[in-house]
Amino acid sequence: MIDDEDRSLVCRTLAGDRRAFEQIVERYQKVIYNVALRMRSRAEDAEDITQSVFLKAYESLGTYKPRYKFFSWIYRIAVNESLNFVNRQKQHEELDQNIPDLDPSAEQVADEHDLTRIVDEGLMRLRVEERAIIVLNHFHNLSYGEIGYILDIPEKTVKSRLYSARQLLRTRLLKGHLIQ
Amino acid sequence: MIEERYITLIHREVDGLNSAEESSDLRSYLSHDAGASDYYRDILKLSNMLGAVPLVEPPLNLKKRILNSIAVHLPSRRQNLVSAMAAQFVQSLRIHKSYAFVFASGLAIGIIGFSLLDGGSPPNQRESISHISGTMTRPGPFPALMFYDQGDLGAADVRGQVTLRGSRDLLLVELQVKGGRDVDVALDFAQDDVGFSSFSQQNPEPDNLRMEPNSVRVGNAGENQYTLIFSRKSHNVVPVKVSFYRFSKLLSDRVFSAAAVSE
Repeated sequence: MIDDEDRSLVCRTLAGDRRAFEQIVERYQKVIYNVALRMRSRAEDAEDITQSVFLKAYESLGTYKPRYKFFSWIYRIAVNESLNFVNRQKQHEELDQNIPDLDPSAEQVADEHDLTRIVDEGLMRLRVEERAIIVLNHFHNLSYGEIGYILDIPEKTVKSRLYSARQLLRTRLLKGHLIQ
Repeated sequence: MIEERYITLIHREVDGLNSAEESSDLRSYLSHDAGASDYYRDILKLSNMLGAVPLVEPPLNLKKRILNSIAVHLPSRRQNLVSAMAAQFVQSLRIHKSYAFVFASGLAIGIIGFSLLDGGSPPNQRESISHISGTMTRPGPFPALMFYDQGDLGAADVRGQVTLRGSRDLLLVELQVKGGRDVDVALDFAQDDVGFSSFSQQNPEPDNLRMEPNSVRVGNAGENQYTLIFSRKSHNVVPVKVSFYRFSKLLSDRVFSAAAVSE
């Protein structure tokens, strides 16, 4: 049902109906913003990435194949934009080393009580490819198959990357005493 | 050291993908291996922790910002079509340079002549709108597209699939062509039924579209996917004939129909 509505909105947009694209933005801005936010962990960057995702989507709407789910297609753009953004910023980050230290004292942990921040800090310590899989699987509940399509990798690779990403995250959060 | 097979089963268990037998096998293994049991507990906690992170509401102005950026960066799709046609026209002028000069000269003479006959337009004279009254009707909600027809056509080495969808005012033709690139595709229709509105293709090449009042032709159309949009003029059944040609020789054709719509 959602898929049919999405396809209809795409057709209407292609036919020149701007209101239809507005509905697409309304429908997907929250999930796209959250993908970008978890990939990047900075609200301003997430806004820029989300804007860029919808611009790209509008630009290339004619290439969308209706046999695929529209949400997978737009997630794919979102993940690629996030990965590109992260890679562009990588060099700067390596110099900056601005990522918070993940070895807080027990007092600090007790003070934080901020699940989102703890998780974000853990995520930022993963490689972007691993981060993307964790984000899509755990925050957006996408299946291995859907993640494979979005990241353009076989389902088998999704599984192995997901398992190793979880393992790394477990090690890092344990090191930071964040999983008690 | 946890066996590889059980690491996979632990992750699948956390994802809720194990069968009853696999779950039972895992439980039995975990009861005998403290390290594996700890690992399972940690992965489960981690999964619950990640699952508990709420989605964040985007800033209120984000939608507006996105739509503004689209308006600034990109012309509307109709304008795209116009600019594409203009580009095609300019391209043809480049090919026939001698005609370009004649055309430009004629256009200049025409503009000057018309402005002289018309007496020229008064500079900066504003039209009063105080006498205009009335209300504008809001455009009604755009109906969802209905499925009309779908089918295959083709010859030995070329296959095509056509899908017709539409609404009261719109007809959308999705065309997928698999096979040699040297195949040309023609869509024929009655100009009283529909008017061609816009065109997009998955692969940018070839850019070889020819439009006539009652047909659209795509040259070297193989291995590509197209979406053609028509404005619907008739409420009766609208037939669209799709034909495949190679070197002007007909390979296959088939008529697809959009059902009648209520007046």
